[in-house]
Amino acid sequence: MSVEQAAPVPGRRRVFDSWSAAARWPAVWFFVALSIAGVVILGIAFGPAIAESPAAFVLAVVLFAIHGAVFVAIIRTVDWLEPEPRWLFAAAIIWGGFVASANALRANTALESILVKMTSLGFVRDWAAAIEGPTDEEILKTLGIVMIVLLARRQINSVLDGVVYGAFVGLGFQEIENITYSLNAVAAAGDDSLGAVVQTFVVRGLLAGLWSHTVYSAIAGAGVAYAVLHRERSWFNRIGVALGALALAWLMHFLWNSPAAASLTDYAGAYGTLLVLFIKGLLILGTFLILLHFFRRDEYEGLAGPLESLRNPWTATHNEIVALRGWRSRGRARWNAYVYGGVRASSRVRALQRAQADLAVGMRDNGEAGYAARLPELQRARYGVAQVGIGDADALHPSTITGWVSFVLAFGVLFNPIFLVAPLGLLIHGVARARSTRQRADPRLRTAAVLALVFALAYVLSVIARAATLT
Amino acid sequence: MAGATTAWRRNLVGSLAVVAGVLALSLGLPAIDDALPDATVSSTEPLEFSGNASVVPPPDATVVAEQTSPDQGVVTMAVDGVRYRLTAESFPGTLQQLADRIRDQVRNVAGIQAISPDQPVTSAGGIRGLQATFVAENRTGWYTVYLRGGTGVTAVVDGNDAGVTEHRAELETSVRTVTIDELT
Repeated sequence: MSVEQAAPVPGRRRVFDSWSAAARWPAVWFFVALSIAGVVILGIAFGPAIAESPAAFVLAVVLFAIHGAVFVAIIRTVDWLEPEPRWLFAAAIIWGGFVASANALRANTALESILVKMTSLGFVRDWAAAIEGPTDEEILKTLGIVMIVLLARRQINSVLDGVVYGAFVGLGFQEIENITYSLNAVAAAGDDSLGAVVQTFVVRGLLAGLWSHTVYSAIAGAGVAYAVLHRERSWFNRIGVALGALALAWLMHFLWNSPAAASLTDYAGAYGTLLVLFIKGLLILGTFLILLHFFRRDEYEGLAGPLESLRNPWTATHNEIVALRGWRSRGRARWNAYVYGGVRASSRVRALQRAQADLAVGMRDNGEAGYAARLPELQRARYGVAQVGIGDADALHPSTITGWVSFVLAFGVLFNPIFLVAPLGLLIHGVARARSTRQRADPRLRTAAVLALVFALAYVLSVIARAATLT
Repeated sequence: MAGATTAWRRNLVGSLAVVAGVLALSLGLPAIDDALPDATVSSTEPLEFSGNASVVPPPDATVVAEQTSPDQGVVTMAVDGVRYRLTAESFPGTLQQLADRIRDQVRNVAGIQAISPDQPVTSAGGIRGLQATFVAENRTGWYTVYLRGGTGVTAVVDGNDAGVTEHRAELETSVRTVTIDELT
């Protein structure tokens, strides 16, 4: 048997050389078989509900697809330095959406039945969701992350990669679960009710969506990636960390589903319920964001090192390497370019940043060969930036009083849309002035304008919703 | 070559481990559930089947776990093959509307031949309700609905003629023990 999972070819992001090469790997076949089985199980379980309420089903799919697309954009931003192959993302989403959710459906039903047999109905009523969901669902989703490792081990190069694949598995699960909850809500309402779908979207998509399966599985994914990457550590250490991460994901899910603070909400009413939900959610999200900060820093340092070692400002200046660190600093470097030379300059800096990150990944994974393969692309990008007169695509920027005032005024739009004029006016004024004096502009001007536009849009939507309610 | 074969074997072993994990949850848990006997319940203590509703089960009743969902206020019991299902839910309508809804559901069950008109009943605790009997091929049963403070309880008994006839008295007594606490 002469099969070898393709080593990443410098300059390419394909995992397998061809479909036939992919077909030689057992993991590919098991993945396909389990995915088909998952679709069949879900089809049998929810087919009648879909046939009963087709309009509601279509609305749920559209709403949660848009919801999922926003999450995809956020995860891709987190993953910007070393973007993972798209088909592997799709595989992670498919596992979460079809394999994990279909099997969780069976496992949760069985576990609830076991709990009914072994405990009291009152205990099951209060604690079943807190026990079943975390136990069955977190394990099934984490098995999906392991399957991604089996499909493309060489794509896991940092703990952040595990976070990203975990997040995609969780996202797939979350959105399919949201759609099935919508169908259940419609069935409870008794007709092909679009209102029940919208209500589910607000509760599960907007109120509970930020601290849900995507976050839990991202944590579990970090543990799997650690176990895969740190081969210098003992088995005990690697498995221990992976299980610890799974336990943390379980604990977060348990906290969210648990009725521990329910007695509090009995006294505090609807606002108390919301407050408890937000406190739980912020605890979960806060823990995740703190961990994410360290994972991102590790990945950045792993890529900044090779670039710094070149000591070649034509490849990357120190300021440009610093600018690669996060989405805000990358955005500020592009903003500086925009103020200096318009959209063309901004897009060329974006291309340079992409080429620099790709070169760093190539060097980290393939050393000299990776450098040689990526260098032409970087040289083209550098030439393009030099053509628009930018020598150092950095993220340095001034903090101005005008910038802060603009930022504060943006919140005025929440009260009256007339305040939109101020951030937009200050943005135009600030950019024009910076261009005329060949200086940098405060990026808060841009942030304030974007915020103000979002607030204005929200204001308009609320007016339309109010008018629709009154009629 | 040897390295490639080792990698392939590892991939196979890893994949089988993942599949085993999935099957353990998807098939293993249902198998454990099937192996466990249904829980018997006391016929002297009230059984709380939702946050604010309870019933005293008939003698020798077992809880049919697969058809019970306490978080949705549903409990299904079995007495000698006769099914006894209670559901508690928030219901904003009238008692008659609640009865009409269950009547429609019963009417749509295959093989139903006749349903009697609704008769007023009162629980042991004084809750007003409605009850009707239905007949199907070799099967019979009745439903009872109670409504109090926006909470509706539906009790449906059905089984083969012999079983229902033999246990009618204790099932009737159990249905009368339904209580509904008013939500504050």
